Amino acid sequence: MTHSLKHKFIMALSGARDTLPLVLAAVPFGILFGALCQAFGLPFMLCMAMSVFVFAGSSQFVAVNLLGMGTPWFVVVCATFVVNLRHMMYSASLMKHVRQYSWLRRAVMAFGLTDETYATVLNRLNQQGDQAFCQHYYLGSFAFMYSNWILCSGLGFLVGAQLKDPLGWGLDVAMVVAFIGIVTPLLKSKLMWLSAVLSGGVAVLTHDLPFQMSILVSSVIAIVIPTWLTFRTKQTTPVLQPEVIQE
Amino acid sequence: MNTTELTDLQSLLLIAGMMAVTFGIRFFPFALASKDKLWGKYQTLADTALSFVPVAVLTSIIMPTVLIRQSGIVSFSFENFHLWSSLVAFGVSLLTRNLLMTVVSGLGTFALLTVLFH
Repeated sequence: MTHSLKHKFIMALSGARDTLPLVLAAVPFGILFGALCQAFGLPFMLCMAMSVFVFAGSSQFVAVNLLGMGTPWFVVVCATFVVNLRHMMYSASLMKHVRQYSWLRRAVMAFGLTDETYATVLNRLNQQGDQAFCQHYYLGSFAFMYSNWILCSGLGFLVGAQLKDPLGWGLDVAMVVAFIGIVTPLLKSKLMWLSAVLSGGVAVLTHDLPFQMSILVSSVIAIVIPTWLTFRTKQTTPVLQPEVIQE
Repeated sequence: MNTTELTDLQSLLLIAGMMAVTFGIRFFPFALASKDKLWGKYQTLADTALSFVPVAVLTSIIMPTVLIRQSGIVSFSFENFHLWSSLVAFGVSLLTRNLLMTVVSGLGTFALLTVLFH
């Protein structure tokens, strides 16, 4: 019993450890979010409630900017939907790993499904195989991201005005290089390379689209075209093989 | 800076609405995951499409962050330290496939460039 508890704890710790570069990269964004809330005159409680109950960095930035322009709350909710829609692709790709867990456990994991935790969990699956999915590793990554995000938003609200340009610290480069280190080993086939080139290219070309729709558009293109090519090339083989066997 | 004064009810609806859509998006596929055959006869199609998700989504976050540093202009200039750090990280990742080495080399390059040329 103690052994299993210890094991859970160790798994949670390694999940947190592997998320460290992404947690560091989130620090300036959390501080900036809090500072923006304060600058736009939003109440402290609203700022904290967003980080505690919504927990989705990029949509929180969009929300606070829209609120600053006097946008009505239901428009902000719609914008949040568009910005976070990409997370549905994340959870769809993790479906087969979470089916063994209870509804409550799945709900907790879904709440914590940020870009960072998805990337960390996915990297472990890629390195160690599908059977390496571990809820405690996932929850450890989530807990570290979550506590850091809440802390940094609060800090940003209270002292962010004194910290000039937190993004200028360059900590966000940690996110970029960590994502690069996670994506590169996945480029094992020509179609994976194509997916990366399409996604990166379209994302740069369409980055002006509002509500971060460029991420959504480029991701969908980078999924649909390689998938279509997979089946177009595969079509010949499965159709021909049975005929050969029958003859 | 000016801002709209949100009433208590509007604030509550805003947070509840943002929470509902965000959680709903993240939970919807997880809620369907109990089904025995997740995608029925489209299983292979779904597996193939989903296998591209990490590369497709993460690259679409990486590339604009690296290339578009400010005011929406693509920058290949020497001052774009994000670009050079990322190229080093990419090279190290191709050679070692090791996440820690990739992160350390990328951050190291960024720190070095900042100390020397900033």
